[in-house]
Amino acid sequence: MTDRMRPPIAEQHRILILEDEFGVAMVLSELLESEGYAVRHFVDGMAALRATERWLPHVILLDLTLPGMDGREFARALRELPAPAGATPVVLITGALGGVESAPELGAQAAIRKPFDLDLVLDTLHRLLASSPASEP
Amino acid sequence: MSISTGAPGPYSGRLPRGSETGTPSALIPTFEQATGSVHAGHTVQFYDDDAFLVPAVAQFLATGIRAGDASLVIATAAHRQAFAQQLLQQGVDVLGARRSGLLSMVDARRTVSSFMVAGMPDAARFAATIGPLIERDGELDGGTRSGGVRAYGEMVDLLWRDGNAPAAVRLEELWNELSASHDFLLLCAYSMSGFGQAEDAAGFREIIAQHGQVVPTERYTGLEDDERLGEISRLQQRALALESEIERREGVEQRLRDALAAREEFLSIASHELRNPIATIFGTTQLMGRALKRGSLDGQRIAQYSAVLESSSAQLARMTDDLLDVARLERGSVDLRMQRIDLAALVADVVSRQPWTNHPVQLHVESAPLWAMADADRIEQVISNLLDNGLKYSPEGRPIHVAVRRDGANALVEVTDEGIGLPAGFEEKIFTPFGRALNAVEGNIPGLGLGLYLSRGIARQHDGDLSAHSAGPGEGTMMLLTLPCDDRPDAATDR
Repeated sequence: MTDRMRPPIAEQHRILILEDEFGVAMVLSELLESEGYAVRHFVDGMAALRATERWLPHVILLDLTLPGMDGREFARALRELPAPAGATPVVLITGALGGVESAPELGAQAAIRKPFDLDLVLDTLHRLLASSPASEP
Repeated sequence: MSISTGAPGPYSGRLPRGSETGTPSALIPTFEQATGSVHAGHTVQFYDDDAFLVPAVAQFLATGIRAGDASLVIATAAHRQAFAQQLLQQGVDVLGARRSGLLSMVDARRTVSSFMVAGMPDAARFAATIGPLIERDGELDGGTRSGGVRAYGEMVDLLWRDGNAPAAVRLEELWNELSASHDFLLLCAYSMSGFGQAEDAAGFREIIAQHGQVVPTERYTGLEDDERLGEISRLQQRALALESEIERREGVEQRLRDALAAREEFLSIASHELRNPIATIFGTTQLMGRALKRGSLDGQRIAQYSAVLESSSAQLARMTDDLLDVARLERGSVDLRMQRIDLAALVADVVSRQPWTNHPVQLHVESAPLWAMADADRIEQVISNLLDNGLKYSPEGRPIHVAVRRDGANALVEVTDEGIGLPAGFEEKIFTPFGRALNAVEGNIPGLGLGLYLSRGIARQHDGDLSAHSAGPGEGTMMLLTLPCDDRPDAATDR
């Protein structure tokens, strides 16, 4: 249904996933790759920050509860990076209590509660990518 | 107090018992006694019961009336009526005294309302309201009377009972200020029931400080002299006991608050931890549906998705098992199916079935076989949990050492990692339900915080134990499981 309704992607958008749960990361990666996105998955927040600066993803899918630097710390550190990396849209994907509600304070553009509907993930990405022009690497 | 003359009016705080005998142990001063400080003629009477208060106040008034001193009563309607009846019983001509102006009675609530501004008594309005009442009484009989005015007041008690402690204290001050320009003896009465809370103590002290004389309730003043020191000692003991009881209860309250906070933290962790495998299962089934629709669900995909589904389902099952076990453990005991097992073989089996990770697991078996009476499934659960913890809390590539040996009558299993270790004070805390070491929580290392609590419970049900040993953060952790050996030579078969 959503395949039909979503316009084709003009260029390959890059999505960075920061998620420590292997199963959830696998589901998101498979979904996005099957939709033609370029995907990179990280478990460590510091490594994800460095990759954001170099790879300039179009959107970051962010879990909040992570080992070491947690999702909240990552979100704050991200916003301190110089543009365009620092302005990357963020979608929280979280099961933590109060996680979804913390999106505005963390500067996230959207929030999805676990467990999630795959169409909701795709629709959210599409909406964000349509409203912000893609930046070339 | 400017009054220094007047008829002697001995009033016994031991009323009503001592009133008829004219006992000399007067607790409220006479005009002669009320000299010196500004508070000298200002007495506070605490009471438990109206049955004590009414005759006590009546005698205070009757003494004045008989001596020709004017008396002013500012009280509730019920008290005014009770005082009048009591005066009649004491032979005072109440009607005559009221007609001649020797006895005036006004309503406490109405009077206090007339000088309150924004919840506090206003000094000017107070002087304008109360001053004339005192002066009028002082000008009786063309100034031929022998002494000053006796006033009895309940306005402060009303304010206190209204919960307006600052206003009550302020009104007491205003009475004291009024005594600089007016001659009167003032008796205030407070019901002790208004001071029943610990937080009343400060206001109670302030009120006492406003008075030159303090008369305790009838529980004290009703006693004979020789009983009073005993009563004071009993009260001192009670105060001490109450203070230590309060301290004990505060401790209990704090522990309850800590337990509630731990449960809240647990719910938050459980919500997150349970959602992850559910999200994986839900997401994977959706992926399978999409692949099927596209015709891309080949054998390799099915195998890949099945493995993910199996692993997430198992993870979910483990968590729910843990939650159920906690409920069982807290209710009483976990059912054990005891049999004679070779602990060395069991540990070796668990280690060999450990899924592949970046942590080499090194097994050292010093004595085999090592027989113990145990529930094999439960002991396997404990050892798996210790291994999981070792893997979870140590950096990739660092080995986990598992040693099985005998120490006297006990079989020991040591699981040692080179991981994050334990901060001081956490060697016990990690065994409490939902209790996780600070560095594990801060590092967001996932876990319900139930595994060690359950493992120790299981070990202790086997008459064994489980303990944690660490030299500190970053120094690794050694978990030690002890179980009693079963050395019966003829007991080679399962029971």
